[in-house]
Amino acid sequence: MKKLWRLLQNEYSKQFRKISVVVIAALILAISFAAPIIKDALWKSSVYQYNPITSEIESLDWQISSLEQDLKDEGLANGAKVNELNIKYLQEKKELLEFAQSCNVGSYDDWRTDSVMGLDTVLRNKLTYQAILDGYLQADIANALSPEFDVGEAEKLSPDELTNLVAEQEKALDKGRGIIQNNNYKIYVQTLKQQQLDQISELESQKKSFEEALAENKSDQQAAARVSSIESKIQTARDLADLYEYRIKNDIPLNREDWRSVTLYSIADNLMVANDAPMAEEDFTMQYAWRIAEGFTYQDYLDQFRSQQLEALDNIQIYKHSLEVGKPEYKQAVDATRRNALDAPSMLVLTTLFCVMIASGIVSSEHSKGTIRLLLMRPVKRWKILLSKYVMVLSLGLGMAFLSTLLYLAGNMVAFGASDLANPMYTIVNGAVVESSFFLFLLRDVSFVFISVVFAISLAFAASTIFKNTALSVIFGVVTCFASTPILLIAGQLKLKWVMYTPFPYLSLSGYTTSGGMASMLAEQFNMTAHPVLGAWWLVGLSAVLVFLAFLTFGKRDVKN
Amino acid sequence: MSTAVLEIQGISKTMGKRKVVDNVSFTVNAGEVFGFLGPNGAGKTTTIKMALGLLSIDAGEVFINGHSVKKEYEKALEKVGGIIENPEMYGYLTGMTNLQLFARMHGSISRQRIEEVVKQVKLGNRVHDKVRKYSLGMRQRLGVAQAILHAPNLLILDEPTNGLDPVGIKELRDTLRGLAETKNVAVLVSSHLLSEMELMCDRIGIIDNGRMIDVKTLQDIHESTQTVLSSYTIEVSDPQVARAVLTGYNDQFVLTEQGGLLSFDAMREDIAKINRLLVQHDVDVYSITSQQKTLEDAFMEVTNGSKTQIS
Repeated sequence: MKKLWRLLQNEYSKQFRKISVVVIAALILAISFAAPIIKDALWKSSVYQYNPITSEIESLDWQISSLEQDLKDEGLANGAKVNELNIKYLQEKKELLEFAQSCNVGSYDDWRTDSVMGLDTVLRNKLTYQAILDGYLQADIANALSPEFDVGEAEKLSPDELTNLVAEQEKALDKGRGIIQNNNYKIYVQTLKQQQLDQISELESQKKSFEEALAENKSDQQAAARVSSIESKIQTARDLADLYEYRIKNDIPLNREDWRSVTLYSIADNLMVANDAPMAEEDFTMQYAWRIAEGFTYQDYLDQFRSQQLEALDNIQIYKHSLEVGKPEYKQAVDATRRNALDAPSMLVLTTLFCVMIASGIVSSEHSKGTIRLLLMRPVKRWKILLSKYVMVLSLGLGMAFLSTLLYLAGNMVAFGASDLANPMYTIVNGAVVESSFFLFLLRDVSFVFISVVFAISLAFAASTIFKNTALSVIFGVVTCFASTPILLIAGQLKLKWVMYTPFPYLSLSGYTTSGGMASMLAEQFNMTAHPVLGAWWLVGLSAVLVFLAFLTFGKRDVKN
Repeated sequence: MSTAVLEIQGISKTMGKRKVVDNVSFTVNAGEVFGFLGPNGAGKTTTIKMALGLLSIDAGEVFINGHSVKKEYEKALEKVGGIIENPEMYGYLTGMTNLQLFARMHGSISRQRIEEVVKQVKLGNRVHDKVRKYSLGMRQRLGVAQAILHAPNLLILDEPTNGLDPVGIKELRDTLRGLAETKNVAVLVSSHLLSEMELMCDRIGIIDNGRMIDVKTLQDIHESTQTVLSSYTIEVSDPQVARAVLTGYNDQFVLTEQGGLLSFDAMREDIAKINRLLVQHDVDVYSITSQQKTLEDAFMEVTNGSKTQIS
């Protein structure tokens, strides 16, 4: 044991007295720390600061000036009245938007932007009533303003009634302006909730008519499908209305700067999936024609649909739990520290390449430089020398993986703040939400991916020992890092499902972590199920075989040079 | 008289179809320098590599300090130092770091001991330079340093004088003799340079074509060359008559004639009789020169003899 320790010391000293090794190691660690910071900076600088209000105003200016030009050119010719009305509408709309602008509305995820845009309908209604009073022709009004209601019907109203309606619309506009000015999202949310409630009553009446049809003819398949489809829509509307209610009750503002709000948005997105009903087979045959040609069956579709639905239900359960305990789920947090730090396993590719580089030369270079003679004529058994070399690369890999993960975490803390790391990770176990420490979660992911680091090291090490060729060993090691994706693409195209039981899809396990997304990509694109745990066992077994072969050859080899 | 440190007992090695070493046996005793002679490709390096465990032993046994290299490798190699051809070190490391690496493989060797050895091989401050900047002579010194670092009682050196200048060779020779005489170290040195062997070895083993042909002490060799193998050249007035006289004296003589000079091999006591006979036959003798045979000549004869035997 003491001897092995001394040999290990020797191997470390041989590697770390090479400037190249020290420089590369330092570089990898520096990149691990800097990557999140650079990524964040690039992201921030690349986000296009789109302001929908400003660009809408610009577009209005252009429309108005071109209409005025038309009016000047053509005088009272055809369409002059339409243009007049149009200009009036556009100008008032511009005023409204400028008012919003003065209230600092402008970012696209600001609810007030939606709210201002929503006032457009009210404005057009108001102008329609006013235009009727002013004696414009029905066709011109409909053409210029296209209101929500029938202009012909409105023309039947008395001037007093029309004046009242104009005043009513003006009031609605004022109210809208007030909401915007006071930034009172609750009233806006209330209207959104009302919209859902209105939709429910409309859907209920639709449902009733289909139910009647079904009562008359019980074998009416289409009516039955419609009823269930409407029921799912009603459910969604009800759930959404509940969400708005929850928002009002808990004072959750309508923006993306509060994680609770973000969580509510995500719940709404998942509700759509969770409440959705699968398509009937005829619809499926029409919509998925190209995939059916590739062998995608209705059953496959149903399975996929069902699993997506279950996933959405799990998500909703987790999100609701996070709101209850008051700690954000990692994707909903505004400080994206956990979400970004979970990419740490993908950084291990640098450690892998570094270790492959060292493993590839650790035996073969002793042969090529001739130092193997002085190394082996010591009172030390050969297997001990080889073991010390293998342990050196493995421990180096472990150390580098640990350090680079730690630095990546630190880099993320610098870029996104540290407070988010205190929040737990949520998983569903037996139908209940379980909380676990983020650090344990990350450790589990990184350890899992480390298995593929061990495999790449073992492969390069065995090749270096058996073939005494550094370049060849490097190629072996590097290929394992990047071979999985092309192999999977080919296997997916050729529909070779058995490939999923071989080691090839799992040569680099970083695709199968929380942030990896390889498994879901395979399921969605190729309808192939990944077995990452099986893959990990493959890698462990293959590593053992390779290292065993290396020891066998090294122990018996004649040193001829 | 002295104890055997290295015992090689009938070892053989086949590489491909060729039997590179065939049933070679010899021993090296404490305090002696054993020369391992043979032309290139005779099997010297293969034998040495087998003794050091670098090559597997097909048949036979090697014992070092009583331990079998095959079965108790670590114990057998415990007190062995070696240099095989050019001692290749880690060029990007300093001489000192190289020595420290090797020291660690032998267990506890103090820093003090390393410095002592550096002084002994006269590396001086150059030990802190990177090895790739060393001259061949410096490398050889470092090679000796790593070989004697752990105070071995057996030193095995394969062609250690290759590429060394005369001063370097003399230094190495003195170091080896010194170790044998003062520290009672057993030294095995292989070479194809016979003049070298003559100067530092106590015994010499001659190997050719994978077979050990003869093991002799240096004294034996000198004596045999003196009694049997002397070459004489005589300058006479009438070579024709002289030739007849010589053949008459001993019809086994092989005579060569060149420009009035006759050369032949004879024993010392013969030459006086021959001189008298020549004078009696009216041949004027202007000069008689004797040429003692060198070890090299002896070596060539032995190996050539073996070749004719084998073929």
